[in-house]
Amino acid sequence: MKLPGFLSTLAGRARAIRTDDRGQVVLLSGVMVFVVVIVTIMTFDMSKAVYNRITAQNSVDAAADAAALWQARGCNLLQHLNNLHYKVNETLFIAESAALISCGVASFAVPGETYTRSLRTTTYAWIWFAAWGTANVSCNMCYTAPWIDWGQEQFAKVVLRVQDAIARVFPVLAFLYADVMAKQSGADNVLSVVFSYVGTIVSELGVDSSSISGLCDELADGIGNLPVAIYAFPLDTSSLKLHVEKKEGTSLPWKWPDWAVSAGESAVNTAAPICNDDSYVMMAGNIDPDKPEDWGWTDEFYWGNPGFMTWIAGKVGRDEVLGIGDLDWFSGEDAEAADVEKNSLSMYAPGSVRNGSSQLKIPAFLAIASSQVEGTPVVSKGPADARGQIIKVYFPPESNPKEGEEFFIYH
Amino acid sequence: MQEDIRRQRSGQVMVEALVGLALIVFAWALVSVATFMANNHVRTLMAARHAAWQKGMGKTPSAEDIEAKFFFQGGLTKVECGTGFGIGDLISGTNAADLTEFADGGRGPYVAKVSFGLTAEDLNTTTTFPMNLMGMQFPLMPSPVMEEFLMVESHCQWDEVGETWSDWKKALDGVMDTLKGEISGFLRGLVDL
Repeated sequence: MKLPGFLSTLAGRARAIRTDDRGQVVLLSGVMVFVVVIVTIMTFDMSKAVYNRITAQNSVDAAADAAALWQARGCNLLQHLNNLHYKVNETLFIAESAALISCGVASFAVPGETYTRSLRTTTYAWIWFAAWGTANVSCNMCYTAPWIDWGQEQFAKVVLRVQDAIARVFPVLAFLYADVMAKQSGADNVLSVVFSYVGTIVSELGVDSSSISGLCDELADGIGNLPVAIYAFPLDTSSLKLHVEKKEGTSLPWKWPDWAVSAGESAVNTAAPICNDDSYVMMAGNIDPDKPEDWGWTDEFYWGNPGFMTWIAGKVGRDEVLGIGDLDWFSGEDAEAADVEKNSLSMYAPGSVRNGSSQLKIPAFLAIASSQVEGTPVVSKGPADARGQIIKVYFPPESNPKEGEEFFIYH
Repeated sequence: MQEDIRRQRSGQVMVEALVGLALIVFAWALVSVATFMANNHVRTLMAARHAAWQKGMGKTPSAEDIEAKFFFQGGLTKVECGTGFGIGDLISGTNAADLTEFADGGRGPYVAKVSFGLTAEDLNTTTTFPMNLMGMQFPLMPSPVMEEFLMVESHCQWDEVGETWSDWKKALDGVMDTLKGEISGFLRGLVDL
């Protein structure tokens, strides 16, 4: 059967394509180029994923380190003020003790001066003069006792108020500086990040996440458009506190012994009427035994130290190929420490732990880091050597490091 | 015979093989450059973190040191450090990535930028490897455009972690500096808004 003209032409061309092998090498090369281009795109994509992963970790590490720094600075300021308070108390205790002893001396010197007044015109005038001088000096020193006590009380009030402000303000500074470090190191709004990973986390827990994911993505977008953003957040907000508290002193120079208070009060009460009434004693003013509410003092100082913090930050953009971000190695597990100074690089930690229990898998771009303040705790008198450290990641609240537990310190 | 060679089977295969080889070489070169720059881009990020941390610890990161620790090629690394952003800048929306010049305010936090590759300046001078081998400009590729393909950079900000206010004087200076810095940062943020 003879085919119509155009069909005959088509059949001829089809036969030619089947039998003609020209152009096959170019075709093969084209396929290879296509494969190579795909590999190139994947290379870019994977690089982007690794870049985002490291950006997230850099951000959260910078945040955790900054937060610990500001906690440490707050602790050091508290310690400086404790030390100053201690020194001032110590000095004023000595000064007030001397003044109160003078009150006791005045109780004898003033009557002695009265008694020897008749010797003024004799060759024994020096005896009167010595008594007069002693009475004047001791009464005037006694006069300072209430003022020293009052001054100490005012000083203590001011110092404790400043310390109170430090204990309140520095956790806020720790949060804000952590936030700005994370932002400027490339982190995205942490709320958007968390919502963008809710679906992943929920599916890790074995729950159907399809309906939740859409809603969370919408929320993530909405949060991303808010004018105020948070770039790093502590998993346990109470960990931001300096965890210092006022503690009452039990010994000198924080607290006067009871016997010293009684003795001092008696000495002032005895000396005041004598010194105030004697016209031969040149007083700067009248000794006021009622000036201090309580003689001596029982002072408070700040005491304690912050615990560890675990921070979270991350990147929203999850444009890696084929779930690379879910791979174990990519989440930091089994990673070897790089051959550089181990300088706060929690990204090289061998994985996050829950106090020795199973490892917790987290999405790759949701980075976490822990830090804490190390050095001497804030005490009544001691060195101001607190410093921030990035430590192996711990999850609050069940994983509080126990005393003596070995920490993996990177600094 | 000369005019028939293109029509012959062997000639056809040779021409196709050459075209194919050229395509593959081009793609291979593209992949090599992409992989190389992508790899170094990641390295710049890690290097920037290290440089920022070093600055925060009170040391001055050097390009030689950073290059030795993070990169394989010599002479292509630049490290810039300066005073970073404080909490006052949180409201302004400004970003360390936008900085083209780093001011040194003498106090932290610090921002560090590490770049690897050739700058437009390098391309114009043609003294840097591998441009010194070619001594030429690429056609249809002015230097600023070329720079985007041949240079990668990253930045990181780290607080002044080496300065913990461990003595009185430093503590007082630190409090005053922080107050001054944050107030000016806050005002700058308001102006930027």
